[in-house]
Amino acid sequence: MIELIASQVVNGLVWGLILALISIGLTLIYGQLEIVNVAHGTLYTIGAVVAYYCFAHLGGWALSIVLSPLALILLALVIYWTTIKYCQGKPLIVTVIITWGLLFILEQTVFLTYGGVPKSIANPIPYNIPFIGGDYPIYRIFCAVFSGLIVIALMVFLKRTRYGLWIRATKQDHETAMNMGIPVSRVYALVFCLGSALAGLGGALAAPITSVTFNMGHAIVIDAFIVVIMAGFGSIIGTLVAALIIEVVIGVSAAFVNPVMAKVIGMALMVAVLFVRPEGLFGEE
Amino acid sequence: MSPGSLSHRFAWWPLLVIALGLIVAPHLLDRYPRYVLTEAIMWGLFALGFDIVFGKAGLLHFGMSSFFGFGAYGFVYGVKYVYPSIWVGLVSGMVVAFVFSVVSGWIVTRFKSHYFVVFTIVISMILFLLAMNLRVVTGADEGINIRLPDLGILGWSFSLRSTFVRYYLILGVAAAAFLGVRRFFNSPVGRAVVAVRENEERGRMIGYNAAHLKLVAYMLSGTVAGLAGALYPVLNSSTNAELFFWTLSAKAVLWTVVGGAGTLWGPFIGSALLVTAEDIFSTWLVDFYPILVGVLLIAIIQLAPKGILGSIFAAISGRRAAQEAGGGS
Amino acid sequence: MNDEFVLRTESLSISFGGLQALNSVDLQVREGEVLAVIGPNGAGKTTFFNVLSGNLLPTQGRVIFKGKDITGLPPHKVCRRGLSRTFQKNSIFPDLSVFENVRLGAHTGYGSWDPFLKSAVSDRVVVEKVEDLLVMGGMQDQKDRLAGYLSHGDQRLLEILIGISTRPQLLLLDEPSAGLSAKETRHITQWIKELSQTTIRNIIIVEHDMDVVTELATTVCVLNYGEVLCRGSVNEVKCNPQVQDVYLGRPV
Repeated sequence: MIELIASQVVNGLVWGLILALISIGLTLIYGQLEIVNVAHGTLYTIGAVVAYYCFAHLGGWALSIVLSPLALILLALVIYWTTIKYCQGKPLIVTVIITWGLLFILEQTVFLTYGGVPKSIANPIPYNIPFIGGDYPIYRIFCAVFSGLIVIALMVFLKRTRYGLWIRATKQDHETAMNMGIPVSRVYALVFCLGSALAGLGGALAAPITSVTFNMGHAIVIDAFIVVIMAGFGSIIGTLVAALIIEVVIGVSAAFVNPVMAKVIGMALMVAVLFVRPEGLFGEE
Repeated sequence: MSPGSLSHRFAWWPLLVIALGLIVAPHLLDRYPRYVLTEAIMWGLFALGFDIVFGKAGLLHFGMSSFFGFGAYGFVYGVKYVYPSIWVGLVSGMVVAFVFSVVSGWIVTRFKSHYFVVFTIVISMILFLLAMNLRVVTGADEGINIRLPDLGILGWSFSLRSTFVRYYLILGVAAAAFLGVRRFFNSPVGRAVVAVRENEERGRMIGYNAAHLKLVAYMLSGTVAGLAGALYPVLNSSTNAELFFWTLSAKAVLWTVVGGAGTLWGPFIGSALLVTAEDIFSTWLVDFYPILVGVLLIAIIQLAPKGILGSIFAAISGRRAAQEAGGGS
Repeated sequence: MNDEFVLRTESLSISFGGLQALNSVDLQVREGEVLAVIGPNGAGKTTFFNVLSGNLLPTQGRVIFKGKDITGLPPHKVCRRGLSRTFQKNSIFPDLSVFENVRLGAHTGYGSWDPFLKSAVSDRVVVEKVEDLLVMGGMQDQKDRLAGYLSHGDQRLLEILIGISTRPQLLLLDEPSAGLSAKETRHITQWIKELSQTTIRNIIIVEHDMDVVTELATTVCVLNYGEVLCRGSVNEVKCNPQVQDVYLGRPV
């Protein structure tokens, strides 16, 4: 029992870090563009699908660490310039309906091109390390470390670079930022690409652990939404912490109840947190 | 005395024409188009539920499918285990959806805009997973088949094997619900719901409890959507867990937005148009239909955010305003 | 003793972070009194209103209205107790008709608690009252127009009409002349004066325009940095050297 729980905790931490990537993408986009991107889970799916193509046709999964985010950046640019750009400053209703429309379009496109059959990717690092009462796949450790590094890199980027400063300035007050000569619409496009790339990277990392299906984004987007609300929209550290908490709780619960009930427990936790702190764990409002 | 609400000016003659048309229609249609029309009315009632919470109360509920699912299962369980009567089934479907709307509404209506949206999405997605998971209760994607009891009205008995009986039953229920909802939004409480949507701060300041009003609208919305759900087994003699899936919620949004949110008529117009379109296109466009839905959602909200009816109303009131200005008032 | 005051605040204080927006404010409004609250920008006038109307919870102190403690009651309950307010920035229902705007308030003030399914316009007491109010405000010709399409001046009138439609025993007016031309200001001032002598006898008014204050107020109270600087008749306050300092910007 102890072993099971311990491995579920570690699994939870691994998934928590991957989920953190995806949720941070969601929360970045919300914090900057004030858009709740309902189609975010589909971007994750596309990241995983690209990873599958890398594995099956381009010689190796490893390529997808670069290609998935890159593909997502291109896609995000197209989406930004065709739709998102026009719903800035519009009421929440408009933006949610538009991203919902995108979800339909993207997911069905994946379904038509990639197909409805689940496919799996061979473990890229097929070794285990000894772990309490058994072995633990090195690949998962790699995912956790890699995701953690990306989150740190992202925070450094936001703190230290000129673009990072622009992003923070625009978030505070986009009109003043514009008057100060910051190219605001380029900043928006950048953030949308960044957020999407994070989802795509999450998909690429998760692909060898789960199987790749055209609708794999649904399950993850529930978790991402739970995390983002629990953390309070817009907070990066908060999102990281909430992602770890949620995935550990869901992981450990899954040792006792079925996976769907585990998600219900995760949601109950979120509701409980919001009753105590309506603005979320790290929210500002 | 005209209080200036647009629905008032639209009063009687169209209602009469539509009512007559709907009463005659099934006799002019073949079996299959008749089924599609019946279905469109049921979906229109479902979308009306969304219009109440979104168009009137301004709350963007993206998980309407839950209410529909609860209504459908409420009907089936009511007829199977409570008493084999259509009426018992309908009431049972409504009660189940109502109870769920009280519980979920009590939690979610306290949260603002984007939290509310995400909350409703999360809850409905989890309910879908649960429904697919609890095969013993829901039958999952295979669902539950049911033998419909005869419909008893004042001692008369009608067999629901007749598609005409199904049609008139669904039409009657939808019409009654529609008139009730319309009446509600002409009542002081219903008007206050709209006022709070328009300007919550001022609404509170003139004595309205905004939180209660939102909850009332939410519960009414859920109950109406649940009633529509209870009609699903009446039409199809079965129910299944996929009714909880979010595609259905999105359709309610689409139908309402296309028809005109906040107009109460709009959802029916939207569903009539799009259910027919779906029926025509899906035979040779199965694969592309979801993409079409997505494109339509984006196009309508960008180009005609008021929908068909909303645009017509706006044109009428715009012309009136222009006339007033031209009249030199 | 208490009964002679319609409203009384006891050492009302509120702070936002480090900013003390109101500091131990004691104010009383007697029956039939029009109290003008004046002071430079940021003196805490609107904050004072927000505390009275239940929008903000004071960090300290009490609000006593008609002898009862209403501190911390939510706005809709404060309104139903008979305290109504208007806003500095028009706060109306833009997509509803003028009639409906006023009717919504009048339902609180004059309507019975109708069942859900009774028509809103079948309550004759309310409808007649709304017609009266519209005539009183000179807006009966515009009653079917959408409120959002009115001119700013008419929206200002409507703002006050909504405020009095709830049948308040105390009305808080937040800069009724904001954004109005000189002519419109005279009109609205005259109108408020009539109101104060007939239906709405107890008023607190926040105003920058000293002509309006002179015309309307029976008592004036000067707020500065969240504190009551002085209080008295218009002339007393005008001659007070401290007040002159505040308005001319010299350090107190």
